[in-house]
Amino acid sequence: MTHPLDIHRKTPRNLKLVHSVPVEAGGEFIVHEGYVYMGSRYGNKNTLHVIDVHAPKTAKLVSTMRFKRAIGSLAVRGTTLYASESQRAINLISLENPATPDYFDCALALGKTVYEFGFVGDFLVAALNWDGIGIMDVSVPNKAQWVDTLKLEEGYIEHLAVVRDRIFATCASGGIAVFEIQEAKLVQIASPKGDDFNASSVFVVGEHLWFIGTPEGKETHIYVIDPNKVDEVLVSFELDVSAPSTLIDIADGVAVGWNGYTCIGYAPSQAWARNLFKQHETDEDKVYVETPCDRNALSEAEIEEIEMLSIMCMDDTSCVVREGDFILAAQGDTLNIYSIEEASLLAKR
Amino acid sequence: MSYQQAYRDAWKQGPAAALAFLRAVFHHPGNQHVKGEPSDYLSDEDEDEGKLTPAQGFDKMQAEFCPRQSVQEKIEFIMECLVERRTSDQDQGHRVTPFNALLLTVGTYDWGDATLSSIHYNPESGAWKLQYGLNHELIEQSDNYREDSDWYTFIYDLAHSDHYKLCYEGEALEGEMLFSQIRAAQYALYLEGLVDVLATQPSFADFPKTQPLHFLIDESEWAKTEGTLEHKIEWRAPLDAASIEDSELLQRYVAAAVPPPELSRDDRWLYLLKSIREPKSPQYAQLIEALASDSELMAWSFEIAQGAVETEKQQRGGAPSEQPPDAGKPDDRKPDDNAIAKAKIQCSRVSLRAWAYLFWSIPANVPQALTLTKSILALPSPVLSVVPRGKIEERSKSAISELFGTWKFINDSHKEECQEEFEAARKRMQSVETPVFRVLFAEQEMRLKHGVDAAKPKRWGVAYNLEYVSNTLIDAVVACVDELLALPDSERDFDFLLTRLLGLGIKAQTALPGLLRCLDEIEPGSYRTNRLLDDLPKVFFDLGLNTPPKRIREHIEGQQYHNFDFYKAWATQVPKALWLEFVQAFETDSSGFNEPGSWMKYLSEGKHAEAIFVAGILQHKGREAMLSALGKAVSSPAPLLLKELLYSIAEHYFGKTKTRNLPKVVELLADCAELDQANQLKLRQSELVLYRGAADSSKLKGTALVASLAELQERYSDSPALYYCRAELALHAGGAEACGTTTLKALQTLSAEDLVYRKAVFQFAGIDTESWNDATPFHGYAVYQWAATFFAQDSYRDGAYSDGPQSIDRDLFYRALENIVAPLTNEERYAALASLRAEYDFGPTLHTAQLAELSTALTDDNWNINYQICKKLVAVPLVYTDELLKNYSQFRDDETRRRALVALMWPIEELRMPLLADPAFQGDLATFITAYPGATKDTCDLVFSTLAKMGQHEVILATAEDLNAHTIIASFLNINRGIQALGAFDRGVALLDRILGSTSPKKPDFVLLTTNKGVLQFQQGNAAEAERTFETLFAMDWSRFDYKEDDDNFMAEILGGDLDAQLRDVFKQYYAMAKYNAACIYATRSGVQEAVSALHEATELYPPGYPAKKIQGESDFAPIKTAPAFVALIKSLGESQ
Repeated sequence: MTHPLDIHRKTPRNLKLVHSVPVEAGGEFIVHEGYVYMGSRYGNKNTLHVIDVHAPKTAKLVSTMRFKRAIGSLAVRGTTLYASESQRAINLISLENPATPDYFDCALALGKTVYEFGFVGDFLVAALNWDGIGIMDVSVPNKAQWVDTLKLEEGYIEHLAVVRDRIFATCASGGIAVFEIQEAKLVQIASPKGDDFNASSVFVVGEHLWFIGTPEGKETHIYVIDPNKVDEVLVSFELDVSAPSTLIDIADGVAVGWNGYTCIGYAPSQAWARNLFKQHETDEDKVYVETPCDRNALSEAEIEEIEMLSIMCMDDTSCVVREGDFILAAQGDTLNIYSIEEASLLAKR
Repeated sequence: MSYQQAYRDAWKQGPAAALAFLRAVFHHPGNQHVKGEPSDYLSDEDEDEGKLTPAQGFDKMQAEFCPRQSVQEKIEFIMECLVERRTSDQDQGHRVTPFNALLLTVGTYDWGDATLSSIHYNPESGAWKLQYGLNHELIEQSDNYREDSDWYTFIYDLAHSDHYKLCYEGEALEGEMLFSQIRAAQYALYLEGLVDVLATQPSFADFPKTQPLHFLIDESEWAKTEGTLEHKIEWRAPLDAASIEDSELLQRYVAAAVPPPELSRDDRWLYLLKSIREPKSPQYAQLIEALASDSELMAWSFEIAQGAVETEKQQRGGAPSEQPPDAGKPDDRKPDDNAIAKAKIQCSRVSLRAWAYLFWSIPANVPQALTLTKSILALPSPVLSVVPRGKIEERSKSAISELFGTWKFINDSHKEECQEEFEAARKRMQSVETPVFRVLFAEQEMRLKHGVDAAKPKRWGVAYNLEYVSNTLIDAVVACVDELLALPDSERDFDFLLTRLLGLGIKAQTALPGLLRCLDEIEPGSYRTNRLLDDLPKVFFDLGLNTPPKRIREHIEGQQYHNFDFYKAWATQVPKALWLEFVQAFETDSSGFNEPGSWMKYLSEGKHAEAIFVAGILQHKGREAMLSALGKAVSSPAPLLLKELLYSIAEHYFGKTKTRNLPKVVELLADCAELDQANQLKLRQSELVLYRGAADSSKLKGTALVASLAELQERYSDSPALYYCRAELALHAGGAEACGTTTLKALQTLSAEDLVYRKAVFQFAGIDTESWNDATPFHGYAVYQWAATFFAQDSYRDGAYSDGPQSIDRDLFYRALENIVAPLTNEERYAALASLRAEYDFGPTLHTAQLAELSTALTDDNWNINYQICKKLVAVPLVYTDELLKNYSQFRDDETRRRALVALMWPIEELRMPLLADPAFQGDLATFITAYPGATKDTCDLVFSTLAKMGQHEVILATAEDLNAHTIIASFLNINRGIQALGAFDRGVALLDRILGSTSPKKPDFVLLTTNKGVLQFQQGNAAEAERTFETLFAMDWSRFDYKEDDDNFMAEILGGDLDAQLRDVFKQYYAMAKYNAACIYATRSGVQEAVSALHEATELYPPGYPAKKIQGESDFAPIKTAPAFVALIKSLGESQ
């Protein structure tokens, strides 16, 4: 795969596509013991793909498990993979042998939409949309059962992050909420950002939490919050670029995220956010083409070259994970594996 | 006095008077009609979109006018346009045609905005021209509504549709004109204040303008191409010396009004020459005067004109004249060649005919005019082969216009002198071969011969009077088609050709082969292809092609929405004829479906064709025979075409929510050989719904039902719905335990491959070990009961399956676990299981105990047990009436349970009277009537007639008072009996007032209700009130119901009749009834004339309702019985009947 723009490049390249694994349905994934487990929250393929990524350049699809409904969120604790199946259950899959997962049990969630997961001690915490938030005792994997759910007075929960023993959730129509588990019961201990913004997602970046939210009548912001002092917003930074749908923590309060086929850098503490590059591929032979978002950074020859190339945007990026020197990205129905180039912000640690 | 005269007279009193005049027109009672169809407002959702009446709309226009900017801001804007954009050129113009008026021009598009312009105005001739830089929108769209712009429909309808038909003393008025006039008066009223403030502005006082300064308003846009002079209104007194004599700014006004110094002779000539293309402008008149009085200026002008002729000659490819007009003349011969040079540049784009017109306009200048004209007529024809393609039309038009325009301007007395040159020029032009030129030339020849209307130019193209269309023109258009095929894409040529083809219609039939070839040869996806496919359908249609070409059909039918109004008629024309042909053939030989005919070919050529056949078969009187013949034809391998016809008919019957036609689907598809997958599914779903219906209605019972289920299971062994049916059958045949056992087996099978399903059964039914070994029939019974509850809630309405065939084949057990049980808390689930356990345990008793024993087993709180007992007790209703009624009282607060109990009791005739006598049931009567399965009217009539027999008139009236309008209207006859029996006319009137309040005054029902109200008022002894009720009704706008069907109602007939016609007929019947009843009142009050006139209308509107005999027998007409008019009416009715 020769990069068509290599000859003229004035700007450093960030990623090099080293391998692609097409799958039936792409979506969120996690990496465990050299294997990618990939579900697909939307669509009707209802698959869970297992992809061996021990050797990223020759990664391959090992198997595909099929369910009745879509597999959305995934999390691993010990050797158990927890996979939410839309409106039905959280499925329990043994990864004793990671290459051949074994679906051995489920915890019912009939009629429930289960979004993000996290673990607090022996409890699996799940965002349950309009049903609020729920905890499941998973101390004995094959006896997993719901022990408590807590509905919000208003709003729904799609995203959450766990820092130490606290659960930080986005309440889509009412800011954020903080929970703890006390004696197997969920307790809401704070609701620090009641009305100021509607949080749409939350990420853990370094020691901090980044909430993405949109205050009434304003542009989207990143709010940086110290999980120990939730009443105080450390940084409130208005974005003039798109918010990330998936994010990688780089270092020192810097993170790189994706929105569609655009890679964006964020450093809210330095009041900085910038579109870094866009991902394309050539129309016919599908060679990866990366173009800087800043056209001024391009030489005339590059601009001319780009304009002559028949390129298409890469499919939307739904999930990205950094594994060593590689970036694994679910883009459309493909797991793309990129090596990180030295000069890239993504190479920083 | 004509409208325009009255309108102008009103303006003489100022804008307020003009607005008052317009208000009177819009508020005139006779002008309140709103056009519509009878079926408008049929749906309650249409209510809010009701059209405003003219009076309401007029008031809305006044109330909503709300300029966003303050007067001061508007004035700043005006001064900015005048002062900041002032140029020396404008100052020069001011010296010749001084700024002396402000003109407000009112537009009629959108909300009616207005532009304010600074102009020079000649009050005597009315001529005007822009002067200085003010020519800007002063009142814009958003000034015409406050926040809510959703009433724009009124404006649009008034100005651009025929929804409103206003008259003034019998003279029909144009909506667009009225709209413009309202805006003009309204804006002028607003401007009065603005001008008062403007006059106090020093910057305005200082600005150059002569006095008097006129204030004009022009609302003539509606008049389009008509002259505008007569429509200009001087809406306030001009600003002159007298009006500013007390102003503090007097000196400044005086200084600004000093006439500017005259321009030099040459500069003035140059300035006036600018008007050469505007003969109606005030400048033009001055130009003529200047040339007529100054021979040198005339000579200069002539020289420039001759130069222009020479330039044109060279452009057309002709050799230069031997001696150009200024050749060999020394430069010093011109005293001011600078002015001539300037004029040449300035006039370089002036047409030759404009020069000719100028010279012919100066009477003393005939020799020069003749010379110039002859030199124009002598010009060669243009050589178009060297002209770029995109310019051909323009160059052709220009050359043709120069010839014919110049000819037109020659004074009649001198035409003969130029005749020879003119004929020679025409002859030269006739030999030009370029098709576009030939078309344009032929059009011009038509105009010359038959007047401009023979080929009237339109904004897009030209409108021909087909009577005068020449073969030359047709040939030229056909040549265009051929040329178009040979040449590369050109948008302009294409538009040119299309407009001509559309104009020629059927006359261009010789173009058809070329156009069809065009259609075949075009590449998909190109600009030309899209244009062809969008624009050619109409051309083909107009050309009389009897069926749309395939490519056009695919293009149009492939669009979900399109605006080819003519298409339906066109596409169905041939299939309609073929359908009739087929019917004829079928009637002589019913094996017609097996006989290939021309109709078969058309079936495959478009959905309209197939729709005709499907609709035709479905509506045909011999439908059954046709369907049977079609069924036979496809029972063995048949042509795909026939199968598709069958599938379309099956699809028609299948529907999405209705189930009543499913037997037809089964009948059609069951014997069809090799059904496709989609129709296999249709057949399966239809059969399952039919089984459901048979089981619910007890049409199939006992062994027949078992056999039917077994037969279905054999064919559809994987159907989840049938597992439920088996458990249901087990419950009825063997009781709760059998049902539980059957359900358990089903659950094991259905969840065999589904861990989540299994887990749900175990956890929700309480099988703690999560092992089938520990499952008991009770667990199965519990899941079955949940499934039954879910099924009843989700898919049943009024006791019948109502979910449509596509939802039938579901796993009800799983659905119930997901939807009924999963949302329960653990405590709720335990309580539900406990209740089900009691019911399950009672099962054997229910099956074995005697009725007497069962009647004592009714509990205080277990609904399920009581309901099961009641189902048994209704078998001997009279014995257990008290128990049944007591149980009803016990559970009536829960609507679902109340309905279930009534569904058990009401069908049993012996129970109806006891039920109706029960005070608890009487309290629920209104909801019972509206909620009980079946037609509400039937239930209502049965309830009220039974109550009437029981003498319970008070209950009838009390119940009616809680019923909705629809039900009262449907059963008013019975309710009225109650009113009459009790003599409670006041309550009757109150009842009708209530429902009239919630009934749209645009629906026919309103007429019926009002009529009844009037009658009750009359009975109440309040004849005057009754008369007013009728008068108000008759004063309303019912013109929507003056509906006439289309002549060609073929499609309406086969696609379900004409709804508008049906509604019109209902309206007529009701309105006739209103007239008849009003006549009864008039007879006793107002007199013979009114009564006979109303009676006459009633008999005209609905003759069968009012025969002579009925009228003669009416006691209310006794007072007028001998009146000659009444006698004459009866006589005429007698004769006509």
